[in-house]
Amino acid sequence: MLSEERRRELDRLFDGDLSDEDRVELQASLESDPEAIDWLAGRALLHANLRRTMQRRGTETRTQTQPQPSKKRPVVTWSRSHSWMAIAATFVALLGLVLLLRLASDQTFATLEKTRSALWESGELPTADGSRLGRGTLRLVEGLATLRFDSGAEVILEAPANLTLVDSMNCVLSKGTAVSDIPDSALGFRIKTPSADVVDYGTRFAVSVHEGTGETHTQVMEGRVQVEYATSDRVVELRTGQRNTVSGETSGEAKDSGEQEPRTIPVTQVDYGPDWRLLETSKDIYTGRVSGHESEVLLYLKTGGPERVSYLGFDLSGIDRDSFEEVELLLHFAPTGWGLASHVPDASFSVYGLVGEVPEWDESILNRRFPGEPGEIRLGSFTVPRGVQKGRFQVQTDALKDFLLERDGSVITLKIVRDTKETEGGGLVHGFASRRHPILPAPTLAIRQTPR
Amino acid sequence: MTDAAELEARERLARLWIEAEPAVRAFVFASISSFSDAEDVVQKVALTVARRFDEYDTERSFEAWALWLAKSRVIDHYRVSGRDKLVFSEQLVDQFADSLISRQSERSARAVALETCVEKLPDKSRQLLELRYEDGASAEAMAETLHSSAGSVRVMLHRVRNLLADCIQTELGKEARC
Repeated sequence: MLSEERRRELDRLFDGDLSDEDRVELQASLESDPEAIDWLAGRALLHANLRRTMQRRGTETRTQTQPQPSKKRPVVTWSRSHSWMAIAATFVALLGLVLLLRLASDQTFATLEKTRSALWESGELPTADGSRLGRGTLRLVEGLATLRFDSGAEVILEAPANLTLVDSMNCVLSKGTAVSDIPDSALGFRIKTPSADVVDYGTRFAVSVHEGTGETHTQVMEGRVQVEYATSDRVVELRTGQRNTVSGETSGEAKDSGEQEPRTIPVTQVDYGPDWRLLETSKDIYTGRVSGHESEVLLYLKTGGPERVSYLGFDLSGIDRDSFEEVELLLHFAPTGWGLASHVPDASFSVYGLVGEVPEWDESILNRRFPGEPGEIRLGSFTVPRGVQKGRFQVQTDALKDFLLERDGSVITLKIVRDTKETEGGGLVHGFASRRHPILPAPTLAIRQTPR
Repeated sequence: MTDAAELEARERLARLWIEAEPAVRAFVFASISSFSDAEDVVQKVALTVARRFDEYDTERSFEAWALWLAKSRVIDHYRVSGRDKLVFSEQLVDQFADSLISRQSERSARAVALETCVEKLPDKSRQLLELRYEDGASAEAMAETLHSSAGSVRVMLHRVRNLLADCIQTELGKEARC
């Protein structure tokens, strides 16, 4: 049992004027005194509760007696301002938790101000107009989106683009174009790209990053930016009307733009090196057509409900198949406008090669079902994330290469099937560009051959 | 995280924090003399707890975790003014925390009883508490106001706290008998 003297000594911790030396001494005396620690813990709870209780009582008394000057406590007139601070502190104590929790979960630093015809790939950030944004990546598949960082920086994102928000002064552009307008409050705003950091010193400027190569194009409409190279400590300064390209190790000089438009996407849509040969379908069609729902330019895919299966014919005549090193199938997906994307989870698709007795087929006969009963070999698969309806998807497997090597005859047939069923009726119909699509590339086999 | 899952996590955090907050407050108030500094630190602890909630291992006691974070914030508080030596030692913090946690079940009853007990105090004692706890005056500042010595103010405060502690014990006993 602690002596009264010891308790009085320990209680000094709660009198508000313990000197640093006394505190150190008191704490040291506790090290070998578990009973004292236990007593102190109880006292600390009382002390902390008293603060809250007395503050609340004070607030209540004041509210009740506000019209007349309080006669109750003449001794405290000297500390009126302190008392009001105490009342304020009480409110903080009451509201503190709620506000703090909200504040902590609200670690946002930018606003998605407005969008134009925007189509987003699924991601961790909200994409509704007016949404507050924190750290995370925005994946804009189509359209324009205007972001306002809390620093004042405005960034217009042009699809297709991926932008990772870091904080109110930093972001990372891994693909696409960002056009920025930076007020004085955001001087030093930085857009990082795979090949450079573009640091702004009060301007309007555009940065484009080419996916795959990481090539960075910067063009200054007004003001001044610095382009810092990722692979060296070189810095190039650009002024109004100047542009610059950073590509891998090659760092470009500042050039005058003239009337030239900035290039925002790579020249070739299917970008492969010189060893690659690109072979488009010679015929392609899908089965399971629903009257009024069909498309001439897209090949549909769906499972569950009316099934849609696509067939691709590639004519390999004249190509030396023994020289194949790598083979990749490329499909360019586009929205079909049918069905609800929210009713289909991440969707997996399989590619089959038809074997055995594969009949000669042409695009006119495939209205209901594929003719004959050929066998099939599964050659690979790919996944299209939920909500995504656009983009290039590819399959590159040994099975696909072997299939091409082992087939007799000049024309081979591939069959594409969606494996994933919709979770509810009326789910999305996926589609990819056929050889009749006016803009998107046809289904393509990219083949790397041994150089002769 | 989906909206529903996030909402659920936030509700869980709010529930756990309301339970643990009195212990965190007691620890911080025992570690830092100034009420306003201590209250700032408690708010920082709340913020840290909320920010790092996804790191909280549900197998462990939430209160122990919150107290551990509180210790770091107290260290930060003293580090700014280069007074690191004022921080409770690791071992002391652990023992202190254990003791606070062991009182968890009766903590809210004690807080309620305190209200009744403050009401029962003689006016003079209550005025003393108003100066110390509402206005935040230290024993020395109170002595000046009351034309007394700091030593006797400390003794008076000590006695009032003893009165309250006894009263709370009696109130809890009453409740147990009901």
